[in-house]
Order: sequence, then structure tokens, then C-alpha cells
Amino acid sequence: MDLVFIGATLLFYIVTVAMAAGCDKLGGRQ
Amino acid sequence: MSIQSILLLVVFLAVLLALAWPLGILLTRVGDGGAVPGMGWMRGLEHAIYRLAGIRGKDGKVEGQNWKSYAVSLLLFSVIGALVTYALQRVQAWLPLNPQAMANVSPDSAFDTAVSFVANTNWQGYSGEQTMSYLTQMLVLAGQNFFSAATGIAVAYALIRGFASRSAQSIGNFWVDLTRSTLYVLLPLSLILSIVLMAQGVIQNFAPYKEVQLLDPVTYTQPKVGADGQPLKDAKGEPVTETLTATTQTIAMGPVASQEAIKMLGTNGGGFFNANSAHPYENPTALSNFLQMLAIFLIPAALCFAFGRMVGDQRQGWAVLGAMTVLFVICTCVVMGAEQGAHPTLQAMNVDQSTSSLQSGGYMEGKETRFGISASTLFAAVTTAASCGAVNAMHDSFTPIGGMIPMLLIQFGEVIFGGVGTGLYGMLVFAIMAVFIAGLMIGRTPEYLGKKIQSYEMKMTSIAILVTPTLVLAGTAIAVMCDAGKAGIANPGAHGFSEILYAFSSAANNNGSAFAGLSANTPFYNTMLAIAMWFGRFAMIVPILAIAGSLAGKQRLDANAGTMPTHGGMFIGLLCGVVVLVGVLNYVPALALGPVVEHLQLFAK
Repeated sequence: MDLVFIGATLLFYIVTVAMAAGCDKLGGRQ
Repeated sequence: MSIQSILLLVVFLAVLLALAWPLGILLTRVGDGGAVPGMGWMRGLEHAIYRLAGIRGKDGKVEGQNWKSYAVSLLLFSVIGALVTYALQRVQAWLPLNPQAMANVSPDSAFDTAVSFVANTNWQGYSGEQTMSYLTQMLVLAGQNFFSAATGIAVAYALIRGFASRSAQSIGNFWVDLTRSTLYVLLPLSLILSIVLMAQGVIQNFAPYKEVQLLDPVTYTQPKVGADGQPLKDAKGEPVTETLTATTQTIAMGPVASQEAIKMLGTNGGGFFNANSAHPYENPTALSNFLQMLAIFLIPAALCFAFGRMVGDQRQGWAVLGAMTVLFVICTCVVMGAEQGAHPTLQAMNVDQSTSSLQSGGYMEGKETRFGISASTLFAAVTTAASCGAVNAMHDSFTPIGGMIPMLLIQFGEVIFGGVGTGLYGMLVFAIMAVFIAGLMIGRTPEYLGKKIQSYEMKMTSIAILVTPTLVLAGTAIAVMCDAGKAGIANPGAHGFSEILYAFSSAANNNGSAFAGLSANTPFYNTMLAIAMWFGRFAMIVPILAIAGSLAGKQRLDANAGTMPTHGGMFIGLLCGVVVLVGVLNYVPALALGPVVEHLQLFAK
């Protein structure tokens, strides 16, 4: 079970970083 | 509302203002990156941390980051914090400072708690004194209380720099903001408050729990739980209870004061004990209660003053603080009035609920007699207006309207003072929305603090505002449709719905308080609420940092005759209106199914 929850935490991180990349693609200046 | 309640509210706001003003000056110095008067000796420690962390550039200076680097640094720091917090809970049984031989925390509870503390929510599905070792409480839970609060301050600084800078690529450096906020603000304030709280009777020790003999045996009833830890219910769906007699009591001990101060100052809210600030070892006196309420609002209020100073126009800070105060006072008066009034069920039983020299009167279920109605309701309003979530009374026991207001304050998006940093950046997002709406009305490109608000900023603003309602309403809908979600409800009917709605509102808005009748320490709620907490925090921070980066790269225009002033009464009114209409309107149908129905049922009897 530990691997499941560690994986879930890492998945949260990956999704949020992907969201940052998506926000950048929406047309910011930087 | 009693005279005492009015006086308490007025004195509270006056003392808050007097303390927040000088702290605002300190926060400005910390955000500007210069030396902090009186704390020059910390400068060496600050630079040693930078050297150890390896964040200095080739020329020995710390380089600024663009918004993407800032965001990735913040997310990386947070995910590492979550993994460390998870790991320590899972191995605490084999580590020192565990006199009660606490077992390792279950995987789903450890996961929920790790995400909760990293997201500055401090939602606690567990009971602190029955689950966590002293080492876990001190090292990772109190540690995250500092780091999650400093992260919030860092994001606020980044957004302020976005407004204040001219054609810049950088919005600051996350590691510097994190370090300086912790060293110069959170640590000194926590040290002072811890000592004051100890003087008031908050305990600080590493002693094992004490077993004491009761003067008289106590007979009590409690819900019977099954092998899975869930309350058993009879054929009618009512909770099954059992009657027990106790002759001894276990008095929990621990290093409480050191955690209590940052719990409040960082608007974290996670109690050392399950009863949180209702526990006499966490909040023993009326004075400690007053100080804890002040501590919750202190940094959020001071950041408004720092905002005004850093953008070069102190009136802007006053305007934001004014909007927060107007909304806070209105909501506080409603909850005070609701709880001070007579409860119709008790009235029908001829229970005396009047105020006298011997009792505070009003509806006292779930409240501490040492605090009475005034200090309990003000605390409830403060802790939910800010994203703190510490409680000195059980919100689940409030009257339907009295309980709806704390839930509503959370659903505002935690922008009424709000969390440390989060309150200011949340309110500034609403300010951007307000100038956009005003721009539409007068047919002019919206500007805020000399920065043009264009389509990219509005896309990011929309995402930031819509993230939390989506998480709350979708999470609540899933929970009420699933057997696993409905299993945790203590009170069937409208109040059961309110319990679930409150839980998801609290999690997604990073408050952490609860309608505690909900049994939420289950794999279903631990997972669902962890999702709400993480994305309620970080899916809002990302678009806000994107706004900061975009604004930083723009020219700062001088105000002219056509510029809408954003420091007067008209803007404060517009901002309050936008917060209410855009922030809360999403929740009206859900509130109608919960507390509004409860209120109508109560007074129809």
C-alpha cells in the first residue's frame, strides 16, 4: 500500500507541473 | 448579539490593527530582501542556508526566477515535504520520543495527513493524542506548519512583485522567500507566542501520559463502532450506542506550546489534541483564547499593509484590508446573533437560555463554558475566515445558521483575511476580476496598479477562482452518491449533507475544520479529501504565479483621469460585491440543501 500512496503523491506533483506547463502554453509572456 | 460580543469584536479588531501595522513594515523588509532591523545576526544563518542549499549563482548572488521556475521549485519542495511527512508517520513506532508506543500510522491516514499538512490545511482524520508520537508531532507536523505557511507568504510576495516591478523577467526566488519568511517572521513570532502561551498554562513536556483516579465514577454513552472502526447503525439507520462507566482518566501530555503557536500564526489549525483549541492544555484561558484569535489574523492583516508599501501606495493595502474587514464583521455578527439566540427545542423544554451573571446564555451545546458564546463564535468566525481551521467549539453543534456562516466563510475562498499569504493573493485575484468587470461596464481596458489586465490574466484568474468550487461540488456529489461516502454520516438528512459539504469545502479551501460528526478517517475520505486539498492549494497557486509572471513583464502605466481608482470606498464596495457574487454564488444551491433546510426544519417544529 505504501507504494500506492507514494505513487499517488508523485502523481499529484506531475499533474500540477503539467498544469503549469499548460498555463504557460495558454499564452503568458514568460 | 450581546454587548459583550460587540465589545469583544471591537477590541479584537483594534488590537489586531495596532499589531498588524508594525508587522507589515517587517514583512515589507523581508519581501524586499534587505537587512531586517534587530535581526542582523540572522543574516549569517540565512546566507549559510543558501550556501548549503547550493542556490547561489556563479557570482555569489542568488538569482531571480521566472514564474515557471518559481512554481516548479515550490511544487518540488512541497512534494518532498509530503513524502517525508508520510514516511515518518509510517515508521514512528521504531523511532524515539514515543513514550506511549504509538503504532505506525495506517497508509491511507498517513497519506491524507501528509498532503493535509503540506497544503496548509491540517485536516485531521486522526486523533492526535491517540495516533502520533511526539517526534512525529514535532518534526514533520510542526515542521510543515512552518514550511506551508512560508510557502503561502512566498506566493504573496511573488504576486506583489508582479504588480510592483516594471518589465521584469523575475518574480523573486522561491528559496529566498521561503527562508526569509521562516527565519525573520514565523520563527521569532512563534517563539514569543509559545512562551506567552506557556505562561497561560499550555503544557510543554515529553512526559508519558498520566493515569489519574476520578473522584466519582462517570457513566457515559458513546457510539458503538464495528471492526472497521465505523459507527454501527440499527435497522432504522440510527447510530447504536453503548453505556460505559469510567473510574480513571488518562491525561495526555506532550510538547504542545511549541506547536500551538505556529498552528495559529501559520493559519495551519491542526491541533496537538483531538479537541484542538477547546482542550484546556491547548487553550486554557480567556486571554490565551484572545491571543490565539489575534495570532490567526495577524500575518494576513499585516500582509495587506506590506502589499501597500511594496507597490508604493499604502492606500491600496488599506482598500484590500477594508474589503476583508467589512465582509468579516457582517459574517461575525450573523454567527454571534444566531448562537446567542434561544434554541427553539430547548425553549420548548423551558431551559433558561437568557444571559445573566451566572451564564453566557444562548445555545451552548458544543461550546466551552470558559469561553461562552462571544469568544466561541468570534473564534469560529476568525478560524474559518482565515484558512486556519483550529476550533475552540464544535461547529457541528452550532445552530443551522450559526454553522452555515463558518461554512460560507470557507466557501468565500478563504479571502476574508484568509490564510498566511493565501488570503492576500486570493483577494488580489478577486481584485483583478473586479477591475475587469468595471472595465466591461465603462468600456475601457482594465488596469490594476498600472498594469493592464488582458486576456491571459483573465484566463488564469478564471482558473484560480473556479478550481475550488469544482473540487468542493464534485467531491460532495460523489460522496453523497457512494455508499462509502454516506457511511461516515452521523446525522442522516439535511445535516448529514451539510457534514459532507463542509468537509469538502474545508479541504479544497485548505481550512481543515470540520462538522466533526462525519467519520472521515476511512480510505474513501482520506483519498478524496487528499485530492481536494492538494489541488485546492496548488492548482490555485500555479495560475496565480502565472499571473505574477505575466504582470511582471509589463510596463507600469501612470494613472490618468480615465483610470479607475482602486483605493476608495467605491472599489471596496465593488470588490465585496465580486467576492460575494463570483465566490459564493456557486454554493447557494448546495447550501439550500443543507443548512437552509435544517433551519427551516428546526423552526417548523
